[in-house]
Amino acid sequence: MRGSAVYFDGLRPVPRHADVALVARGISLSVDDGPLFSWDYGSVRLEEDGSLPLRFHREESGSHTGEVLEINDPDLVMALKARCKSLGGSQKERSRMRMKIVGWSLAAVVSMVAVVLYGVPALATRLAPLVPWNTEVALGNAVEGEVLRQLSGEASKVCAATGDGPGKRALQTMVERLTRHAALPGALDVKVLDSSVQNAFTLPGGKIVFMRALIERAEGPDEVAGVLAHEMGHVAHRDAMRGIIHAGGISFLVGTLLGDFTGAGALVIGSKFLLGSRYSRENEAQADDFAIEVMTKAGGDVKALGSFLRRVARSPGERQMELVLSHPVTDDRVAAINARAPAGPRTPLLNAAEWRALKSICKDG
Amino acid sequence: MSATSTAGEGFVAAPLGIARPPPYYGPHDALATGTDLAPLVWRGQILTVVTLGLYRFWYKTDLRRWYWRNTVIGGTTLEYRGSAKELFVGFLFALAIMVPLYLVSAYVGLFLGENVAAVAQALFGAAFVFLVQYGAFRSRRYRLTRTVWRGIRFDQTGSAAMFALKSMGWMVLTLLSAGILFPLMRRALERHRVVNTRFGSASGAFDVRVAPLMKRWLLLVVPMVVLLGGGGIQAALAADGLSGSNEQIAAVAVAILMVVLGVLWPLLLWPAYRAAEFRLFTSGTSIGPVRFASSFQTRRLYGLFGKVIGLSVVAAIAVLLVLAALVPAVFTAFSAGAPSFGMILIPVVLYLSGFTLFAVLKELVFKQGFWRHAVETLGIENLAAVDGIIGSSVSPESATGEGLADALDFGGV
Repeated sequence: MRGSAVYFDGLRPVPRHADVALVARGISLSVDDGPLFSWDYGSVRLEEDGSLPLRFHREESGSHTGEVLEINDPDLVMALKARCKSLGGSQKERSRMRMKIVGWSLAAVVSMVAVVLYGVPALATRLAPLVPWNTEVALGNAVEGEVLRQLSGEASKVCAATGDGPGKRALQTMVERLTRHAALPGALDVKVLDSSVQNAFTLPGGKIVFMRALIERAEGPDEVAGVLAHEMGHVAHRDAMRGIIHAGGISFLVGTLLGDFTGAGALVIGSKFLLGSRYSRENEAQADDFAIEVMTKAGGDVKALGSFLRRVARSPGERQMELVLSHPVTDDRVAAINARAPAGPRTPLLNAAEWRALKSICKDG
Repeated sequence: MSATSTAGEGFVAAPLGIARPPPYYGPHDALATGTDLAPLVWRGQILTVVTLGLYRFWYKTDLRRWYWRNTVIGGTTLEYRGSAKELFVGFLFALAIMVPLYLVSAYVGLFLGENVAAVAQALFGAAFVFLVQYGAFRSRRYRLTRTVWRGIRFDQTGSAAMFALKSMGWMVLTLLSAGILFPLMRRALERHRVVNTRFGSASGAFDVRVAPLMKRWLLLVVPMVVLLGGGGIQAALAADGLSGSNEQIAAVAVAILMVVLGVLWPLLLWPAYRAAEFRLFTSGTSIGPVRFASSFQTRRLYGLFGKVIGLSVVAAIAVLLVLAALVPAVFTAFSAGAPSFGMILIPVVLYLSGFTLFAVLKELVFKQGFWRHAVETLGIENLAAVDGIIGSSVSPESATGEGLADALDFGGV
């Protein structure tokens, strides 16, 4: 088999005519009618198969010599391919490689998903209690600043932030009566935000935040106390810290390890939402248990928590959605609370005057 | 094509003794061939999404191979010798640099108090800007050392750190000048890139006058600054004392109009500036004895932008229609209290398909269109003189810079 090709010597960018003959041992070449030299078939490599012209390289002890043979003759290409065993670059080889990459990537994705679903939550549960309380408080301060910045406007105003008005004293009284019976990792920091959203949440470092509208909605002090005791349960179980480690771990895994190819960001948010709600359901039950215990010991009405949550959840309007989404209210949950409520008369945690003061805490100077 | 095409013809007629010149040897200085990019892009983009981005190194390499292979200069196609494995290793190196930096910056931001955090965040911001530029320069070196034409490698000299410092200095100057100095920055950085470019023994040279570019830039930036600044002042004046009178409403409307125009104007003129910049920069570039010229058409760039925007709108409408068709199903699932998995899955699938569609459009319509027109309007003068260039044995650059560029999330062909 004979033919012609373009030869580059790798020293100068000059295309030269080469007469090519495929002989027993290899390609016999004569460049610009010069002396014959040859390429072993075993040393010939093809970078990429595809449309003509094809480029063949020569390798010597594993590295490229710089020489290139460019062949545009289909018959010659076919004959050469048949003679070279370790040519590389074939479409079949590339598609096998591709399948391998996809297969391993999918395996990596599956193990990532497993880590995200089981590994990270387990890690978060183990790590959260090990975080020093001081560190959690520092983190809580940072998170609180961020939350207040995001709320902005009226909702970011802390009611009775300074001073010692009757509302604040009433809140303090309620907190003290409950904490006396609760084993907490550190001091609480309970605040009321001047917001018309009916919600309450817990941040790391024992920070419990009530929204004004939720307190206004309550029909008695024990309804607020029930929610407070529930949030204290989150503090005791360090759920906020756990949530941060959990969310941070997922972001870190997906965002950093895989590199954000723009699609990953949405996946993180989606998975956080999905996992976040799943994650909190069992924690909600544990926080309820905590609330029942503390309320029972403090002598308050345990059932108030269940009926209050149900009332807030059933009320019309979308403002309530937030509380429902973060604290899913189910009949099971309310029934569980009621079933464990002790019989007999209960004493409200605040007297009538204190309750009035708490209700109007956001009107305090 | 242009007066510069003699070099290409000269090459074809050169006494090479090629009995049967391949059909792709044409009269052009540069030629863009190949029409089969679509399957590669679809497959690459979908596999990238399916593998949560891990396939992107292989996709990027396939893309480059395609573009290089289909760029014919003086009858010889470019050759890309990079491999996806190198990119992947580069990405791992970049992780080793970025992960500690992320962790330290998160730690400082959370625990060291507001004042320290503010200073530290500024420092980290500067470090990230530095790394972006550093990565971009090294990424270019990686690509050049993997680019071979007629058996000779390209290369890039110069320090990436110097480039990063230089570009940061220019960024500060440009900001201080309210953007006026932007073309000077672009020219300085392009010069830095070009004069450090090597092809064998030949070095790049760059000679571009800034005046024609500045003229176009001022046309873009001065009305923008005037409109935005004027709109701001007008809004401040109008908001002074809320009387709700008709005059005040009219004044506010004028302020809003000025701001909207101030935003639209630069967007409208950007393609014209960009096309002119591309022409001028290309025409001011030479490598050794070879000079380049570009007659890249402004209206072609407008056409490409228009096409991508138009097709994106069509794609967005299609995705929205699918969503609308699915909404009832989603709501039933939601209200029935069914597992929220489907509720999450549907938006994720929609988002990813929208993302994939847009990425495919961008590559197939915009990037391919830009490349094709850029190559077809490229004139090459004195190409025959490359015979005097001698190949240099350069040690190939590692892909760490490319990995950094990838980790810091910005692309490059």
